[in-house]
Parts: sequence; structure tokens; C-alpha cells
Amino acid sequence: MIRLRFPAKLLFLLPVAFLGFFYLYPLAAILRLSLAPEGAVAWQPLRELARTPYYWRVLWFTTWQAAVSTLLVLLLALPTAYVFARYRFRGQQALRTLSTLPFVLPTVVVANAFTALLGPNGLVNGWLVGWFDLAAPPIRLHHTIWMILLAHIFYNYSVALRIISAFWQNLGDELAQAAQLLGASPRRAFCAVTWPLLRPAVLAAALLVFIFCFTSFGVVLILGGPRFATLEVEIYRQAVQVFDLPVAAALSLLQIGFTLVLLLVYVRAQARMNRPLALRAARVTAKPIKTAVDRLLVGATLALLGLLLGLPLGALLLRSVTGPDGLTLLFYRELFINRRGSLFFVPPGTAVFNSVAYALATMLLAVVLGLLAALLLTQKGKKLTIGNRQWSIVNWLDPLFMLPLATSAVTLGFGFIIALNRPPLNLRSSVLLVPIAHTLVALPFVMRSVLPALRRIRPSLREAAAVLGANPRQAWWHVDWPLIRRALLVGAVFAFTVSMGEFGATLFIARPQTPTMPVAIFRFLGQPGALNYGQALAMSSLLMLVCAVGFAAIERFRAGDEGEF
Amino acid sequence: MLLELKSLSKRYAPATTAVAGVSLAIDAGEIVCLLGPSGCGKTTLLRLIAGLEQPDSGTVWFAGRQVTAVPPHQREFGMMFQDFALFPHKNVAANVAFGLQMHGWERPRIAARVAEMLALVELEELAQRDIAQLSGGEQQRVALARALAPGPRLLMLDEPLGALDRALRERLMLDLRRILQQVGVTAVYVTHDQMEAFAIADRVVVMNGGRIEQVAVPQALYARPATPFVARFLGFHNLLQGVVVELGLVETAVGRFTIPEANAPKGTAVTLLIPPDAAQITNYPLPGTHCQPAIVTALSFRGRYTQVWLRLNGVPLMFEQPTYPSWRIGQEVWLGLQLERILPL
Amino acid sequence: MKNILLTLVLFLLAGCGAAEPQAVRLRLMTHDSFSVSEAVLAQFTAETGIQVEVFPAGDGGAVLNQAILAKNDPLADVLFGVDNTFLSRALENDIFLPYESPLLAQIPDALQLDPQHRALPVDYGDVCLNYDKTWFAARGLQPPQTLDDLLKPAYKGLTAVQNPATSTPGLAFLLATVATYGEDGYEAFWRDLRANDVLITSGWEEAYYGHFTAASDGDRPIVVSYASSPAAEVIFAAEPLSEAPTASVLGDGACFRQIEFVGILRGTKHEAAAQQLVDFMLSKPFQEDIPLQMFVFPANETAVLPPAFVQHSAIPANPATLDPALIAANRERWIAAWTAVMLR
Repeated sequence: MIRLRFPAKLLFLLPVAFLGFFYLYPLAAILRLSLAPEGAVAWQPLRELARTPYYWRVLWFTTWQAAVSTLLVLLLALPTAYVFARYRFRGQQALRTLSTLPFVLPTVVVANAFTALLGPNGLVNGWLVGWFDLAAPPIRLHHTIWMILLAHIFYNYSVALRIISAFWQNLGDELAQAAQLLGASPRRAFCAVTWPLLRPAVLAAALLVFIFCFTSFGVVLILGGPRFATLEVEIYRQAVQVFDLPVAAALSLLQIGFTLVLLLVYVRAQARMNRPLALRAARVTAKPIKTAVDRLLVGATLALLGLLLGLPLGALLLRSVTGPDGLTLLFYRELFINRRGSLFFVPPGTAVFNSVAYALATMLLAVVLGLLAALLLTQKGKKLTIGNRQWSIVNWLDPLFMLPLATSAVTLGFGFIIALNRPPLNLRSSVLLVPIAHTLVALPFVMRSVLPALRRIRPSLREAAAVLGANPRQAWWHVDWPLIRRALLVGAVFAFTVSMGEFGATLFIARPQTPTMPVAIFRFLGQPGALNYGQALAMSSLLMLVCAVGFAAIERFRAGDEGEF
Repeated sequence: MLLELKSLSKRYAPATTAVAGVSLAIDAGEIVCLLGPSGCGKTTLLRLIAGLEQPDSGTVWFAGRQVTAVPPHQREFGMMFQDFALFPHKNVAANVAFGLQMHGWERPRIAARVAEMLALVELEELAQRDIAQLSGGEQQRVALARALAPGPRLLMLDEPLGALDRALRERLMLDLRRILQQVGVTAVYVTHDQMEAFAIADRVVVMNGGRIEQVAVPQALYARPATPFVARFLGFHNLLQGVVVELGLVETAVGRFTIPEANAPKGTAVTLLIPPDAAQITNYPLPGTHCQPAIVTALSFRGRYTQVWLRLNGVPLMFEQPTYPSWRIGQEVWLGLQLERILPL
Repeated sequence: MKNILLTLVLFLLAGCGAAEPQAVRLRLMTHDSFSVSEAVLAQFTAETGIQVEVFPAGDGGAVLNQAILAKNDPLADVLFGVDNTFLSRALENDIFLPYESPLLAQIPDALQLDPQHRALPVDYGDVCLNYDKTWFAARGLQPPQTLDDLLKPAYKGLTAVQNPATSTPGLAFLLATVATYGEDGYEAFWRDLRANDVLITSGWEEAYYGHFTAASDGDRPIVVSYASSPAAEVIFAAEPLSEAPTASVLGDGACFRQIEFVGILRGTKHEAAAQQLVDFMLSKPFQEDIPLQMFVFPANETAVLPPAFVQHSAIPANPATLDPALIAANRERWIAAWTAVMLR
């Protein structure tokens, strides 16, 4: 454990202060205004809410669809993560990037890509009808639960893939081999040895995916259709359409409370599971493709990625260059022309600049705060005794940092309006509010990426550095930093992505006119006309391109890293 | 006197005491072993010396200066960890160079010192090797080279051979002693293995329950264990509970013995130790000796000697006999004790 | 002591005298679909010296709710974008200052829903059914003329509408059916429409760009959109078109008129400047800019429409309308009834 002097300890308070000012305080303000406008809690609307079976059905649906989505994501991501962790093959980096691209795409665009592929008049149905001479399109997924699940896989696949493969690639095979020598079949060796070792990363990924699906909004609204509603959808409806703040607040509380319980369980499980492990350099654990089994595994992975992610993304790209007379760059050219002299015309350069500037600011904030938060959480802190159980403060802080992910954007956005109106936090209409809101969402990603890496560093490494004459700062720089750099990079990529994709958080924030790429896409989609739709797709493709370039740039920081950890 | 510990105490949880009022002095150039079973506080004591833990009370003095509050990186000590704690992201040379970099050495000097240290531990060819590709013995030697490289004023070794197999340990014990003496470094060595402690140490400190039981050179320790615990830990079995019946006379289940040192008041409980080689076992009573009949309960062949387990007045005793005897289990034999070698503890 | 005081007073006076009359910066809070020509807004600033900062803050409902939450300490000086379906919420929460602009004289009384002139009409648009002309021509099928036509077997599985609970045009279309069939009849209409295999989407974008045959790979040639959409299809065509590919169903009561209002937010520190901005938004230069920027019709009768609008989009003679107070009182009940009929 690192001993720190007083100013260094103050540094740890930064993420806590950030969370307090920009999350807990606005949230408390909006909940108080909604539930206790007169000072005392008005119980009547809450009681009515609890008696309405509809809301319980919504909670049930929200929960099970999230659980099934998470399970499916993990099932698909685990084998891929293995292949990414163990094999080195050409184009691996490009594939990793490709897998993250869906994350930034607006739901409407993704929905239309799916329609173009799987819709009644889509490509796949077209082929099937042609090949088998069918009367009607055989695939009818639109507005079904399958579409929701498919979209959740499409969006969240990379979360699981990145977190698990980053962890796996530093996990040697010796222990599993030891188990095999002790008589375990490869399958049992996996269940008895590899799986328990891998579990912290799998659980971290599962948690993030579950929360994402639990708070799913766009996917359920657009791909699921009006018959499906998650809590998030219902909160939006109550807060924006009906303007029934007590109900919206109560549902928000339900959503937050449910997630909090889950998080507390997670943190306790996590603490039991995490052990310092001997880390292996990825260079050592990776193997070239040699046998037929290797080829089959890698081939199957490529096929899965291509089918699941490549096809919809490809359909989108193709659409963006297809005009009435075949291939054209018309829509891209048109992006640069302000035909109507509109004040709101966004030259692509400006949109790219704004998006990247926000994303970099978010990344910087999230990486610095997330790292500090992770360090804070690995300190052995004071314990609180509740009942006859000891709860370390850390056990409470960890879930708190995750909660912004589980809080509906509209609730928090409204909270900002009523809470951040006084100096020194008079930020309601500041440009800063956008990266701040993005950072709240990005922080959990950085934390969840860094924490496992930080926790599995054996304490003796730091002590060895200290005894060899390294002061705490040097010990950190020479031991912890190289060992967590890769995990931090994963977190940074997610922070960048979260901001580029302009997550819900900003939807309900009044902001000065600094249009980002997603805003530009929404403006194009808001009006009829082939040109508008084409430009929306062109801008979406540009968004993917900018993200891909951004990822490549971030990953370059890894160059010169001897151990590739 | 180079290192002096004054009444060091440390407890982790309210109920358990890891180190309780330990005082110890170590001379320059000495190799001292902290010996004891796991949980006896020897590793905690080592960590207190290293500065990795802070004592609850007591002080640590080094070269006449109090260093209790000096953080580990400023103590200029060296340490070898039980798991070696080699940096997995650095190669062999970079691991050895680490301490030198921390002390701000110039590049050429570092290179020369790394080469010198790797030569000392005979690992010159592996300088650029990854840590993950080293064998256990190689890792141990890299860890030693790394710890010695900055020329520590005191070297601490925490079970440095614990992770290795027996044959390797035997060989490395000798290497380690040679290298430590060659370098002339003062060393504190933690182990639970008495053979290791005897082979390496100038002086052995036996610990139990956070306290020091005995401090002695290996030969003296073996010849005169100070407490029943030390005796038991060193592998002595024949411990007899007795009572002083009059000055110099102790009554036990096996009989009355004249022990000149037993000058405690009448009625004091004492423990007597009969060394395993302090007896003769015969088929018939030997005249002129203190002979008693006993039953053979077990026999265990140990190469150059055999362990003979006897029961005498219901007390189990073990003796090592040099030749292979023809005794059978259950047979009655005569035990002739060398009374002058019985030790009060 | 006296000297010090005197110096202080003189200093303060000098300070006040020296300061230029500071250029006023107004904040215009609005929804994400707001648009205006750069040149038109620049003209306003040039004439008045007032700078306008535009603050987009989400969709129409979100913008209004934020303004209500911030009413003690307003986020902006002027709010644009409250429509007649939300007007009552704005008026009940008393977020606007009354202002009887002289330009109201040029705006038809039918659009002026607030007699106290707290919310002033800026534009209106008609939500109505659009159909794919090519699709119907290719099949030799007559396009629908009225709401009743949608229930005919010939139009089975052809229509896409939006969920009124989550979509503004969806809500407007529901209101059109309430206005046309009355409290007693609208549920029956929707029940029949459901039986005729209507497709329900959550939002306009998905219906139009995801299912409308004229704009996507979808299979619905009839969709709820705006009367101005056909004109937009021509203006935003990928290649020049002489005729719109789509048309609107303009029969009596088939359309619902949405009116958008502007208001001065109570608590503004620049009321006079805000009034100037409101006047400007009702004046000819801004009003004539509206059609091509936001694809709705100017409220000011003296504004001249651009040719593409005149040519390709029509204004229904008798759109359905409902009193905002009636909408406010019944909106949730109608939506709940609709949900029960259509989704359960």
C-alpha cells in the first residue's frame, strides 16, 4: 500500500468532489423538487405508482431483457476475446477498432441499417425470397424482442470484447495447463481454473453491459417499437411528454435503487474474487496461427464479427455512397455546401472539430478522474460498521461512481437546470457542461478498466521498488503505471467513444451552439428529402471514420511500451 | 552495532499481535537468521526493519541514527522477496538496473554495475531475457543481483529459497552464503527452515508468537536450546515434564535426575531435554549405567542412522542409533541414558 | 474623510460615464429543429445592436420543461418553440411576460390562441398523411383522400403512424382524429385502423426514413408527416425533380394544425431588447425565411412564400384544431386510451 502525504490525499478528493457537484447534488435537487416540493415527501403519488401493475411490468421487462442481452453478449464475446487475447494475426487492430464503431452510431441510423439488411424489403430477405422462391419475406424481426436483443449485442459487443480480451491476454496458460496435468479435461480446466481467474473481468464487462441494456432508450424505442418500454423510456415519457415530475422521479429512484443493489452485490463479489496474479506479457501469451484448430477459431471469429458488425456497418457505408444513379459522392460533397445560408449549417470540419474537442476534453477529464478514483478505491480505507457487518467506505464509493450510467439523462439534465444556477457552479449554459456530462458517463468505463489491472498488481512489486530506493511517486511511475497503462488506454478509448457518440446525457442540456457530428446527423434526419437522408448517412460514415482515426491515434501511445501490458 | 531494534511492537488487528516487544542488535557484516514457524512474526519484523510497516511502539536504529520514521526508499536497504517481486514488464538487466536508476547513477556506471552483478550471480548471458522466461533458480538469482546492485547497507531476505525445490535449495544455500560473504553485506534472513538457517547464518534468532525465544550462533543453539519451544522447533522430541524435588534433583515420569543447574525452589516445574544421541540401547542392561527397560514402538530408517521410538513408563522417547539394529517393534530393550547430557530448559 | 468620499463618488460617476452603453446579448432558447438564415439574423443585429445567442435544448417538450424548472432564474430571455399541444402547460406555469406586438395585426386571429399575448404565434404547420405517388401510380390504386379511406381493405397494411406518447406528429395526428370523430368516435377509428394493419413507430424519423416507400426500403406508402414534406422532397432531392414524389392528404379534418409560439421569459433583464427580438421574429424578413429553414408556414400573412412551397405543398382548407385548454385537460387520457386500443 502506498503511503501518501497530505496534498496527495487531497488529490483523491477530486473525483469525489466531481461526483458530488455534478451528479449527487443535481440529482438530489431534482428528486427533492419532484418528490417533496413542499419540504415533506408527498407519499400519495408514490403509493399510487406502487399500486399500478403497469410499472411493475415495465420493471420486469427492463430487467429480463437486460439480463438476456447481457448473457448473449457474453456468450458471443468470450470466444472472440480468447481469440483476440491468444492469437496474433493481420488486421487484428483494425478489427478491434471496427468492433467499437457501433458504439458511436445514433440509434436511428443503426435502426435503418438493420432495416436495410433485415427489413421486409431488405437485402437478406431479398436474397432468401430469390433463392428459395418464397412468397413473403421469411425474416420478420421488426418491432420484436429479437430486434432489441440483436441491437443490444451490436452496440455492447465491443465493451465485453475489449475488457475481457485485455485482461485475458496478460493471463498465462500455466495454471490451466497445471490443472490439465492434474487430470482435468480442457473443459474442466477452463471451468475450474481459467474461468475463476477471468471472472473479475467478465463480471466487470457484464455489469457495464447490463446497466447499458437496463437503461436502454433508443434501441427499445425505435427498434423495439411502441409495444416495449423500459424504465428509461417511461421516465422520458413522464418527464418530457407528461411532465409528471413525481412519477418520473420515483421511476428514476427505482432505476437507480435497483442498479445500486446490483452494484453493491457486484462490489462485494468482486472483492472476494480479486487476487494479485502473476502477469504475463501479451507477447509471451500470444501464439501464431499454426494448426487447423487455430485457423478454424480465428476464421470463425472473423466470420462472426463480419456478420454481426461488418454487415450493418457496410450497408450503412454503401448507402452513403449510393445515389439515384448508382455510386456517387454527392452526399459527401453536399455536406460542405450551405444551400440555405442557415445559421445552423455545420461545415463538416467544424462538426468534426467540435466533436473531437469535446471527446478529447472528456477523455482527459475521465482518464485523470477515473485513475484517481481507481487509486482511491484500491486504498485500504476506514471501515464502517453497519449491523454486524463491516463495510469499507470503498464498497460504497465504487457503486456511487457507477450510478451516473444508470441515471436517466433527462433526470440529470433537469437536475443541472435547477442545481447549477449559482456561482461558483453557474454552469447551466456553459460549454463545459457537455464534457462534464460526458465524463460522468465515461468515468465508470475508465474505472472498470483500470481497477482490475490495479488490483492484480502484487503489493510486493511496489515494496520491491520502495526498498530499491524509489519514492512513492517513482514507484508508481515505474511499476503501477506500466502495468495499468494498457487498461487505462482501453478506458480512454471508451471515454473518447462515449463522447463522440454523444450519449443521452447531452440531449437534455441547454448548450451554446457548438454542433457536434451526432447533432448534425439529427438535424439532417429531422427533415424529409433524399438529400437530407443521404447527408445523414454520409455524416454517420464520417463519424465512424473520425472515431477509427481517433482510436488509432490513442492506441499509438502504446508504442514503446516494452511489456505490452 | 549496525542495526538495533528497541522494544518493537506491531499488531494488525486488535486481537492479534504480530510482533511484541522485540529488541535485537546486529553487528556490521553479520548474517542473522530470523527462524520460526509461519505466523511467528518474523516476516513482520523484517518488514518493520525495511520500513514497509510502521511499528505501533518501539524504535529502529541504524548506524547510530533512529530510522523508525524513514520511508523505505530512503533507508538504502536491500530486500529479496519471497515471490522475488521481479518487475514483469522489465527484462533481467532492467530489473537489476532499477535500484541504480532510483539512486540517480549515470548510464555507463549502471551498465558496468549491472554486468558486475550479473557476473556475480552467473547470469551474464540472460541480461536481455524476459522475466517470464526465467526458471525459478534464475529468478532467485536475478532478485539477489537486483537487491545487491545498489550496494545496500543492509540486505533483507524473506524466505528467498522458499519457492524452490529441495535440490536447488541445497545448492543455492551455499551460493547465497558465498555471495553474501564475498560482498560482505550485513544481512537479515527470514526462514522457517532450520537447515537453511544453520547453513547461512552467523547468528540465529528463534521467534515464537511475536517474541524472541532465543538468540545464538547455530552450534550453540543446537547444543543448548533455551526453551521447550526452541527445542521442539529444532526437531527435539524427548522433552520431559518434571518438578524440582530438592536442590539439583528433578523428578520426572522416567525417573529422578540430578541436574546441577536445577537450582530453582522446590516444586518448580521444569522441562528436561534428552538429546536423541544421549543414550545407548541394548538387549541387556549394561552394568554401571543408569539402565531402564523400555518397549520399542516404532523404527524409522534415515540413512546413516535409525530413529528408534521407545515407550518408557508411558512416555514416548526417540533416539538416533548409528547402526541398523536387529530390534523388532514390541520388543523390550534396555535404555542407558548419558545423564550428564540431560539439559534443563 | 470627506475628500475620500468625494473622490469615490467622482470615481464612480466617471466610471459610469466612461462605460459605453453595453451591447445587449440576448439568449434565445429553442428546440433542436430551430433554424434561421445567418444573413437574416445578422441583419437584426446590425439594425438593433442586439446580439442573439441561440441555445438548443432538446425537443419541444424538453425545452418547455427546462424553462419551467428554471422559471425563478431563467436560462434565456426569449423562448421559441412551444406549440399549441403544449401551450397550456407554458401558460399555466406563467413563464412568459405579456407583450402585445404591433405586428400581431398582420397575423390571423385563428392563430392567436393566447388572448393575453404571452405566447405569440410565429409559424404553423399541418400534420397530415403523406403518400408515395409512384407507388400508387404503379399499382393503379387511388391514393387516400380522407381519414376514412385508411380503413378500407384496399389500404390494408399501407399506413405508418407514430406513437402519440413519444412523437409530436404522432400526437398531432391523434388530435386530428379526436377533432374529426369526436370523443365518442376516435377510439373506434383507431380500433379499425389497427385491424387494417397499421404500423406504429416511436418517432417520425423511423417512420419516414425507415418505412415510407418513398424515402426508404420500407413497405408503407402512407405515412404521417407534414403538409410541407412534399416540397422538402423536391428541395432536398438527390437529383433535380420537376414534381414532388409524394403528396399530402388534405381532406377536411385529415390534418392537424400545429402552431409554434414565441414568448419573453419572465425574469429577463433585457425585456425591451427581447420585445425587439419578438417583433423581428414576427416581421417579414424572418417570416419569409421560415419556410425554407424550418419547413413550416409563416404566421404573418404579408410574408411571401418561396416558389417551391407554392408549387409543391398545399395548405389544407379546413384543418382540424382543438382548444389548447381542452388538449391540456385531456392529452394524457387520450394517449392512454390510444395506448390501450393500439398496443395492448
